[in-house]
Amino acid sequence: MMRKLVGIALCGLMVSTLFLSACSSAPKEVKIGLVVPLSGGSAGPGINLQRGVMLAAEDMNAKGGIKGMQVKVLSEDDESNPVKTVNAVKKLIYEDKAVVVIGSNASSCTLAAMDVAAKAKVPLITPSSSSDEITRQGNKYIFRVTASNSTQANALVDYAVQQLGLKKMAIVYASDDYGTNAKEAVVARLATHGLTPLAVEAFQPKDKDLSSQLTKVKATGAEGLFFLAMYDPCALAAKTLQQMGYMPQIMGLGALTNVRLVELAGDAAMGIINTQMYVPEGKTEADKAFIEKYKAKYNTLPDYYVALAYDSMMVAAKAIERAGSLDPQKIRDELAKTKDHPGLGGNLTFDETGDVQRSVKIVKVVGVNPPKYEVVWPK
Amino acid sequence: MRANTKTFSLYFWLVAALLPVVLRNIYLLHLLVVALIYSVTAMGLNILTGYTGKLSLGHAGLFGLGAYVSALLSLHEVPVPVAMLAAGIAVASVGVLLGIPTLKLQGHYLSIVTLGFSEILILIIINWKSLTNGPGGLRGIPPISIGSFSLVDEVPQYYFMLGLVALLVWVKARIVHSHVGLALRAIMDSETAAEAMGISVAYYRVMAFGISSFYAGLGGACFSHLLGYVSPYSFQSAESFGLLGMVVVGGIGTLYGPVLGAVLMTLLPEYFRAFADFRLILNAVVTIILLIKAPGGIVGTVQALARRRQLSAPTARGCGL
Amino acid sequence: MGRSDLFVQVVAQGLAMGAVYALIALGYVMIFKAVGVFNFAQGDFMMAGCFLGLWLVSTGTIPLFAALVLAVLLSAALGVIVEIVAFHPLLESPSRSYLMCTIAVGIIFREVAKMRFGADPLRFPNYLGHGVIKVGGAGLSVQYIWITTVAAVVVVLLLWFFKRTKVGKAMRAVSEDREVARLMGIDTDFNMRLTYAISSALGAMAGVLIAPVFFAFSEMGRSFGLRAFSSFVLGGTDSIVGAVIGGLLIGLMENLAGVYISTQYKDVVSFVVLIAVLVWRPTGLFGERGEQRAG
Repeated sequence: MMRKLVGIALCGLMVSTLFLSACSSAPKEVKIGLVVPLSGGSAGPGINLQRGVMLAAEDMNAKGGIKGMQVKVLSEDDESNPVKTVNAVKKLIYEDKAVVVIGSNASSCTLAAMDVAAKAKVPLITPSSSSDEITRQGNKYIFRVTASNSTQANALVDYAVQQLGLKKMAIVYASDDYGTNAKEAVVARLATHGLTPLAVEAFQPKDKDLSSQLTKVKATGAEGLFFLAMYDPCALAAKTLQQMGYMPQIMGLGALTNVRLVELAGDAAMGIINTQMYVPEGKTEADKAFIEKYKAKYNTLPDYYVALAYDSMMVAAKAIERAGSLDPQKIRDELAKTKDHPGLGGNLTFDETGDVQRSVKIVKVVGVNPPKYEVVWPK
Repeated sequence: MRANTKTFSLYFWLVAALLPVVLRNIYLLHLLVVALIYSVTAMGLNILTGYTGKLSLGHAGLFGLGAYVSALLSLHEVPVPVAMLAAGIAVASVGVLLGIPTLKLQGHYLSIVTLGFSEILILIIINWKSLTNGPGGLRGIPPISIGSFSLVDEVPQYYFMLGLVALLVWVKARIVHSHVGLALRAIMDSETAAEAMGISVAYYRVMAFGISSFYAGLGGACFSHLLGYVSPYSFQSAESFGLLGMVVVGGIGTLYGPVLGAVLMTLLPEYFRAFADFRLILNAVVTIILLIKAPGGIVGTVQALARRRQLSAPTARGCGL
Repeated sequence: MGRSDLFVQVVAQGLAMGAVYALIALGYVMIFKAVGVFNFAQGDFMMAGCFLGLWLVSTGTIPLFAALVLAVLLSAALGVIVEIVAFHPLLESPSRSYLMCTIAVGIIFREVAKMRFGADPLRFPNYLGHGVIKVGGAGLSVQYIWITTVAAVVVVLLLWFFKRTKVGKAMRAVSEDREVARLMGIDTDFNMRLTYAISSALGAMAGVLIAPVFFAFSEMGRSFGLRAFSSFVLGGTDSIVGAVIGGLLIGLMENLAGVYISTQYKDVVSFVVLIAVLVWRPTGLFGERGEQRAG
């Protein structure tokens, strides 16, 4: 009997799945799709990206929405798996009829989703995929809000060589799409200064034992260490290096400025520098309001993922407003015209490849308790 | 027995063939295409695990190897059908090579070797950047073309996969009912007895490994040409467990089990999207309930029900899916 | 840094990581001895124990060490509950179903942890000290010394428990043959629950021990699980001493391979060694018996 019931329940589930479709769209709504990792190993950035987009949508709706239409964000999880990203993007575009899709986080996922978006002629805005490959495909429907790895690497390497006078460099990178691409960008820029890194060591993103990589770096006696991975392995690395009694200048591309880095690594994090597009300084009115709202809601400071996602949503909203239509093609054309959009972390302009033109800051950890950052470049 | 299987098959394919006409929903058709791609590999896993009792936790690696071989060949101007077939054969050879030294390994030790092997494959794909483009994956993989017609839309893709799966189910049925299938089952029941009867355990087991790997490789080739993009992150060990889940939930050692399992395990998490944060939890809970309440998988449970009905009504015929 | 110093550093660090893997691998051994399957949720039991500890500590009302002990006890209870609800009904099913079930339980653990504690790693109070012990030019954190010491004590206790106590002997009997043990009047269900209680408690202990070094995060089971799993297989799946030696070997090999071969392929080296050992000696280095259940 029990088995029969389970069988019937299953059949019901299958059938309802198959016919769960064709939601009629209300006319007074702008549907924005969001696809980010909300489960699995990369859920951390994904959740912050989601919060950023939601916050932006709330702000828009509080101001009366886009031309009187309320913004509705439909968010989907892709588990950082390209197959799931494509599934989610197809759902958002074909079933939910989203006019713009924001996502994803991992570059490999964004690369997979780009083709789907282009085929459906719906613009895809990636807030945080920084791999240079993304905007080199000639895809007309992709826009990127974060500065690419090479833009960030150029700023960081120039600063390290020219301002800090470092000559002996080493690289430790995560062997995922972000780390590998970032490593290439750093190596390429170092070459323009006539420098070759003394050690280039990889580690698996899941890996928690970095001792062999760091021991090798220590043996080379490098003065500068580019740590091209997320902030949590970096916290581990900083602590390990401190225990080894070896303190090179640790430098990161974008991913290291997170309050959590300082929380996890403690005083080992002092002096780490990192390129950044957003620092919660509260210098402008918009930024102040943003920080306050975020703090009230989540009881912590917003990081750059939140800001990038917020900017992505706002850029999309402005483009829809200018297009005056919910036709994704028209929205894409307006997105391509985005120029000097006042984002939280500076002005954004899209070039013809969809890549962003924006300034990159370099920040340094100067305080541990409470965490404090200082913008060291541009002065 | 046979008659009911035929009736089931008829209904199954009829419903499947009519789906695009009824549905007209690109998202769902895409999911079904993905499910059918997985079902090819799941069928391969079933040939190994269901008919020899050997558990593989490395089929995602073989699946990925097939995808990369086919993608790389076709990116180097090899015609797509040739590349796909080559991928199947290449992966089958790898399977045979892997099968020979691991023959004497008992039960779970074989599963660890396969798990380790697929981890190694993925690490090589990630780190051999000059060939595989590393973690960025391969893009612009040519689609399957029939004449001047390319399979880029969901409806033709669906029919292509449906045809392929039908063919592979038929081939699998032939293998299972042939002397090979009988030998494999004899070996699974008792190795010693089979050996005593003159069945070469080593030969048949390596053969099963090879056929199983061929299916996995072919599934991988379909993946790369239908989805157009491969990345190492689609073939990690979690996917091997996913494939095993499809086979176990669908019904291990049955003809249609892996196909139904692949469809269910692909659609279920998508269906649960409505539950947001609880999605994966619900999926896992449903899996556990199925494992406990339907130990033979969906097909196995249906068979058991049919058999029970047959007992109460002696005239009814059994159902051998 | 001199060549010999480098070597000493690599070996010391490798053995220290090996102790971590060994500690986690013990949980795998417990379940495999009892049920004859891999418990792929073992790493997630470790994570659960670690977060239970963090939660108890953060309430601030209980002293740190009491909180850690309580976390280990609660984890033991959690192990029993999971056994009753999810694993017990599958005891007589083919082991692949059991295995799938452990994977599903692991997913539930991870996602629940993520909902409750977020996806970002959290700092765990460092009660293990900050010091570094210097040997020549090489240095090792005292945290690792503590982990290694606890692992050694746990191994000795486990060995004593199985050899000398009545309950331990009964558990061994059940792991040899469940049916015969039942006929002999041993309460096999109770035994199974006790096994899960111990393995889950072992996991929790490993979790709260390594969290001061590696932080507490919902994916920690997966991060450490695979290495610990390799250690346990290398050691022979049913041997406590084997798991320890397997763990030390994996830690050592990975660090040596990372420094002297390539950091890109250091995991490949350990997997190749694992496969080679299995092909050469199908029961692992210290395994006594082969497989007893059909796949």
